[in-house]
Amino acid sequence: MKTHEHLSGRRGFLKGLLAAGAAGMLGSGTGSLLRPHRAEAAPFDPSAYEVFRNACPRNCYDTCSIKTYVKDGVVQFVEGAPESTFTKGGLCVKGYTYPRRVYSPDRIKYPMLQDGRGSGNWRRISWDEAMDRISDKILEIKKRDGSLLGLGLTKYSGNFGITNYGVEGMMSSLGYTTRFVGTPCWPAGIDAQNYDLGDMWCNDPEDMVKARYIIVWGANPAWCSMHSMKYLYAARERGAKILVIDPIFTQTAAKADEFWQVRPGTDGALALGMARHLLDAGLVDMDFVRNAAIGYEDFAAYLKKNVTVEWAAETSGIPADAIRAATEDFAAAKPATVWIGYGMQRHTNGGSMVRAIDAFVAMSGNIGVEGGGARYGHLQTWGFNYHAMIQKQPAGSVGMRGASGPKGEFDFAGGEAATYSDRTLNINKTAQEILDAKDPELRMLWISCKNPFAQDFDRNKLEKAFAKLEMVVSVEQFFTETVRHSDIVLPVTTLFEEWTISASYWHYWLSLNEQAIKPMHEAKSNIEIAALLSRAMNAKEPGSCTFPQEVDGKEWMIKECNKGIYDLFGISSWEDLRKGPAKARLASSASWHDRKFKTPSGKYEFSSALCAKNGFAALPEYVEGRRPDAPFRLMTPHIQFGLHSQFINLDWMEAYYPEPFVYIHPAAARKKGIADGDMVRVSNRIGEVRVRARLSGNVAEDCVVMYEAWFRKLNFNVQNVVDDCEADMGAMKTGAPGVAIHDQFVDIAPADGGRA
Amino acid sequence: MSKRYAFLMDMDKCIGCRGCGMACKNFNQLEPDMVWRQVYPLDERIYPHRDRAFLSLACNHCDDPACLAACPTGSYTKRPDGIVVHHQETCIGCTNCIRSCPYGAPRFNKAEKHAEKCSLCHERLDAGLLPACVQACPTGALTLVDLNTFHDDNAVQYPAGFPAMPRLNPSTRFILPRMPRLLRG
Amino acid sequence: MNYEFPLVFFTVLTQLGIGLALVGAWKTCFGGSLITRRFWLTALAATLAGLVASLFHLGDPLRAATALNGLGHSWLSREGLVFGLFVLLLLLAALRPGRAAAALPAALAGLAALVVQGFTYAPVSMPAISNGFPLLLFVLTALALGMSFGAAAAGPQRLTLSLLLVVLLIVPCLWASGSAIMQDTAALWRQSAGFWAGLVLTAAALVLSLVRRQGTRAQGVLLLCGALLVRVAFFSATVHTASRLGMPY
Repeated sequence: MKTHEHLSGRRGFLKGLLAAGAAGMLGSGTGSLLRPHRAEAAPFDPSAYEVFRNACPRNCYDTCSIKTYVKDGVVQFVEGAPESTFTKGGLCVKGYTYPRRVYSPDRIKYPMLQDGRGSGNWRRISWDEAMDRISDKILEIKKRDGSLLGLGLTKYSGNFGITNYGVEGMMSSLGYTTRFVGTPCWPAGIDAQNYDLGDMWCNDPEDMVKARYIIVWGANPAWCSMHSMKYLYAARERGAKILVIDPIFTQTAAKADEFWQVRPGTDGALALGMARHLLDAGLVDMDFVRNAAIGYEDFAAYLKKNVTVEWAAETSGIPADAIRAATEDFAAAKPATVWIGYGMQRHTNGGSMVRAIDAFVAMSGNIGVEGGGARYGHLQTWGFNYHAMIQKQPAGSVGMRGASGPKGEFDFAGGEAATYSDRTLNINKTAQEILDAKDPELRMLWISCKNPFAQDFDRNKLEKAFAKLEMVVSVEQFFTETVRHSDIVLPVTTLFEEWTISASYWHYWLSLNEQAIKPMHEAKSNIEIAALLSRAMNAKEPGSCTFPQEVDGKEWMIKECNKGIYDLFGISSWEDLRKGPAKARLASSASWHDRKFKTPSGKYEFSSALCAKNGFAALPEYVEGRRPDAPFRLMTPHIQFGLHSQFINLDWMEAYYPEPFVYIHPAAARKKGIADGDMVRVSNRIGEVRVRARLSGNVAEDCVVMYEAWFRKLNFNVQNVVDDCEADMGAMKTGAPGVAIHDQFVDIAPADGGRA
Repeated sequence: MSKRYAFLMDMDKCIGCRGCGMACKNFNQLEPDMVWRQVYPLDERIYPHRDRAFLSLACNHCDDPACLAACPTGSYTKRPDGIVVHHQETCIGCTNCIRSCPYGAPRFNKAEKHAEKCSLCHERLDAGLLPACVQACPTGALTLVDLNTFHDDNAVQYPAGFPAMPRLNPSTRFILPRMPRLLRG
Repeated sequence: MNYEFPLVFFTVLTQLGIGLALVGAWKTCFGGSLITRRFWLTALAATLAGLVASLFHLGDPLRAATALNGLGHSWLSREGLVFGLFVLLLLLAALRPGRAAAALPAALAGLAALVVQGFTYAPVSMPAISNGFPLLLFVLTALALGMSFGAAAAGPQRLTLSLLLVVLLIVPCLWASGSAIMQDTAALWRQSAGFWAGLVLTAAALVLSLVRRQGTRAQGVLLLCGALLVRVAFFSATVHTASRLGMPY
């Protein structure tokens, strides 16, 4: 009997196969007019597929290990790798859209040229023509300026597959260029943890099951690290208490035992109040603060002089008795842990707040303890060769005088001791930096793994800044707003179409990413694009680009691996990863388990001279937040349907998330004459957003929330009303301070007569 | 004794991520606008915080399915293990099942002009695998149970927000969501 | 919004056919007046027009015949069968106009078709109409249409029209005191322009019937339009349980 072709080919791609199946059914002859032949489904047969290993390379805690099922050269479906105890066989709502992403009709299929930026007059060009135009421009800049500092690169977290650092390599291979450095994501917290502990290094998230008390502070794993939720649940089932502290009643908060709706930007006061109560109640781990730390006495003196629980309560809005009770429970629970979210440090006082929480955890004796810790993130498993990234400038290249500083938290190359270096501009002030760049001006911008018009701040200013650029090249998969502001767009491969390798900044698994299918259309990987450019450059001016003119994706993936990686993960070769992801062999699931801190003193530093040297208080003192200049605080955190500007544009995702909202408290909405579902105008001095209102008690009365997103059919962009105000810390380890994304203020009013 | 397969939907664990629904689309290769599993937020009158507790629903594989009764072409069958199977190849797209199912399980495929619905991934079950949605759920909120052996005092058949249809006897069981203690600033 | 126009035309036009058959049979058996072949052909034409309309409801009309596969359990299947029978008997009645032996079976098949329709369009998923209301509505609509177009006596005509109006006015009020979903249905019907326009046209038909002693074509057309509009509300404004999953029922 002919079986029901359950998975007979990706729809719309293998129409031929489907037609053949249908023809077979018509001709089967067993049916009649009234009793058509009915096929019965045969059991699903995994052996009918070729299975490939992939890894989700997005900027996400979870960095899922993927199993990709391919038949007839077509990705049929994906699933989570069961070998990883973290991914545990399941992806997330985003990961499951990958088969659509690769075959989306919206994908950019070949290099295209836009006659007039923003005009929409795109025409297909060949790769040769694209590279011809690009190399012409680069050579022209070099001729005009005598250096390539007029050529800039902005790249961040769109694809963390290690070989994609070849984009930075491509720039280096051309000469000294301009780099946008820093990160809008987590820099203030990174520096804070570096001051306190000497590095950002978190416990294995899988050891949260051992915790007896968990505070999730300014993080929303239910949306942003779904695979971590099972550890919170397991801990809770074993008797742990879960407290969520957040200005928003998040989905994670709904799953907690207790939720504190803290006033935004006052988390530092709350943490200091809790620290003061540890002191008052005699709950400080004296062994730790005396033997493993320095500066404790100064900090205790600061707490006694400047902090009371009542003050913390008044500042944060959380009642004093609740602060006392939770502090006592936290101290009594062994181990206890705080998950410090990235949201909490996106404030003008973000770094100081992270330091205050670190100090609280340290005083409670939970640093270096399995199931404990002040968890923020780590880069312990990123010890690759960065072969693609580290490229030599052509002989005679000219740049900025002197050696460069850090180019970001993922820059593992270290500052070169060279005469010249790249020019670094602050990625968090992209618009202003382009406008201000002088001698030479920024003439050309290469954009890859990034969507500045969705992610960079003060969109209106960015529009002005882009107008200054002479040429913009985007490497993309979809026609984003950034592509609209580009002259040339180059189609880049998806994870299924290239070889690479991916690690996480949260868990300790390593995943191979195999090429599962031939690249669709004319898509090329970032390193293949670099090789093509090198060919064009060298044809015109031999020696003008040192990037190899031929690359093999698989070979380049292998070149990223080394013995250190193999030993850390207990594998003999990268090929072991074909059997499934591997987890780092950890001496302990706890970071700092040997209490050997990487601070200058080698101890936990309650008082950091380095921090003081960089212009902040040596102690984790309270710092007031940004002052409001409009009635409502605006927060623009992440929603589960997207990763920054990725995924929400897919029609599959639209089936579950068709439209964005601004969330406003019902009482505030009433005062503003806004009803549920009304069209409203969210505005401040830099711009406005028109969007429908959704009334929700999940946000505070003086707060509104919009989730950042890029919808392919909607003109929705939260960056219209998010300015580029700096967070306090971040410059030390990432090259630029963070951004006060959640210290934004807006007004809100009915738009277009409300109901639309 | 044969099994009676059913979904157990633990609303206390569910985070409303929609991973279940997307995993279903991914495995079953649904049309872009089509879903077999939808996640419905509970109304504030049922759970006091908007968009924070959910019903994740596909087909409830009823004991006495309204779709099967309504279908004029006999395109629905019920397997001994309780799974209600829709056969797309004999469906003429009359939409009577869609009108009849109180839970919105069958939906109309506009591209191919027929109804379709959750099959409980019986092809996967027959191969010893879990349904795509169950395998996908990152929190264990969605599991597969055998009603003939399943027993949980906390499980309910008709939570608020889910219409009670004793005559159809839907198989899905639910655990109700709890709420945290709230302190607001 | 899904107006289900094929179902609207199918149910109303077939009910016109059934109503005519009932009036024709009554007149043949008891009225003593002569029913012409033309009368039966009109009933047949209305029914066939309705059946053709129903095909537009199908994704694959070419396989409509397979809809008879579910006779054992599906009211929709049975509807197909009974309408097949009804059409045949109408044809027979048209061949032998004036014969009670031909008229009566057609009328009985028509009544059966109404009953089957009453079940088919009362799905468990729509609590407001998952009861005797569809049957009541369909019977009264069929009778009113049949009497208006079939020139029945003024008395029964006015009675049927009045009953139809009363039912349409009272039932939504009953829903308003029912479950959440019935209340929503009541609200949607009250917001439905089709419902109110249909009511006005039906009332106008009653007024015309009160003014004149005999039914006229104008009255029939008014009522037919009214019935179609009310049916639009029936199919599009009746709330389905699946449309409010997650909300109180």
